[in-house]
Amino acid sequence: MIRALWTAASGMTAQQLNNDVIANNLANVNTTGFKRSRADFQDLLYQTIMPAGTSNASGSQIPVGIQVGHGTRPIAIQKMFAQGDYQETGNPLDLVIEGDGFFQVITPDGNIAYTRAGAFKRDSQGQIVTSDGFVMKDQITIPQDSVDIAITSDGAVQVSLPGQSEPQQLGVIELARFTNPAGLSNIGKNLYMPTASSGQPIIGIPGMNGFGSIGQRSLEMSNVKVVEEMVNLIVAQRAYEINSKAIQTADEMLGIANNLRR
Amino acid sequence: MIQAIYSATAGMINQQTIVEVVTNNLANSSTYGYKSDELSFGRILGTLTPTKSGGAIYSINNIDNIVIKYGTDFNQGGMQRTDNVLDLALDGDGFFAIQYPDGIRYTRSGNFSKNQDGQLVTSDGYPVLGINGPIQLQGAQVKVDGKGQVIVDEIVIDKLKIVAFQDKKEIIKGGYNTFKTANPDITEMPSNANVMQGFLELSNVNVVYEMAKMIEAMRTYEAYQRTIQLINDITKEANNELGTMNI
Repeated sequence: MIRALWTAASGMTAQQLNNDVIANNLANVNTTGFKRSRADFQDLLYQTIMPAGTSNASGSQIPVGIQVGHGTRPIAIQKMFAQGDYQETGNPLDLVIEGDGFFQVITPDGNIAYTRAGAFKRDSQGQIVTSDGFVMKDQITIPQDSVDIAITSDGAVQVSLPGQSEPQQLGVIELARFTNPAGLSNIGKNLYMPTASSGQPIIGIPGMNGFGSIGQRSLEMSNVKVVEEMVNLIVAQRAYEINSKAIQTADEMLGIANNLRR
Repeated sequence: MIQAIYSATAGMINQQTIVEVVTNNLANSSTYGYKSDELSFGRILGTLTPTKSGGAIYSINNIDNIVIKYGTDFNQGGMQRTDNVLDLALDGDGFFAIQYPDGIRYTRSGNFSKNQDGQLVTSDGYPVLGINGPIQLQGAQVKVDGKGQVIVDEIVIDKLKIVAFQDKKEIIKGGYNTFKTANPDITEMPSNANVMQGFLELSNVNVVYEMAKMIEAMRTYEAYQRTIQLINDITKEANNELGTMNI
């Protein structure tokens, strides 16, 4: 009976985690470039009470044995890198990646972090920075007197300067790709860091060799679908409830056993 | 009298095991590709011993003679659309083959990912097998068609190894969403299952059925307890009252 108690408890813990993940998705429904996550579960080891093929008292073989499982456990919180919808903003430094790839930014501790949130700004020196002020790795400085900024789909940054008819090329925004993007680690602030399982970043020009192309004056919205998350939330809550009922049942049965002798 | 107490005790223990199996099903109602287990006990089969007077005595001496029905329900679970490229579901009979350190295991849970080398792996990190062994995914666009062919950038690189079995009684649960077989001579048959990319197979646990089963098991457990209490009372009566003559 103790087994059923712990089995049901593992189910409740799993649903709690499921709820945490769904809540984080819902909280980030308006976060630029956010990628939703999903909790994956798997069953635990089985205890074989009676192996298949055991002979019974009359000498015939029991065709299937009895295996009792021990519940469930979370195995992964899978990041889903499906493309989010685009939102037109008109802001020249709002960029989207249409397809695979990440922008590269330098964090204050000198590491390179990766992001899909392309809401870039200019700082006082004219450098392209994230909303947190982290400098883009490509180190593009926009001159103070530039009139218009154009960023092409292959990442080339061009500005028009007063008195010049030809636009001036300032540099190229390169993108990074990973063999296993789902293995990246979330560090908050819309940023990802590589891990052993994501593999090393592959750097390339947007729009070539499988890299996504860059779209200007738009943002990638969160890929969270509210209806889907709501349904998941209902399922998680009901599954939580039914596991608590299993605990109640196991508890009642223990009570019955304790009352065997009055 | 004592015999009856042991029969009822065996009944209580059996009902307890049923609740444990039901609870495990309920705990895995959100586990992708999980297949529910079913355990039930039939009536105790007694043996009839002929008597000299021509009748027969029904004996329940052997409490091993219980009809046990245990099995895994391999019916199809529902499908959930995820749009994740490496989420695969099987529509029909069959299993994905996974390379475990102790041999090949089988799973219906297709929430796969790539590892750092680009190999297609399970959430536990074990390689998913194709016809030519582990599958390397190097390229931008991965497609898996209905027959399980893995197409990377429009080139077919391998076909997922999807196997079916004549007799599923040979397949036991290995935990961690896997099935394995204790029989090394088992023949793997090619499966006709349709592979669906961007979908996952949900657990096939029927929560209403499991709830009903849990209530039934608990009430049966209670009935056995009453039986034991009754036998206890009768025995007590016999011990205390027999021999006293104050009628």
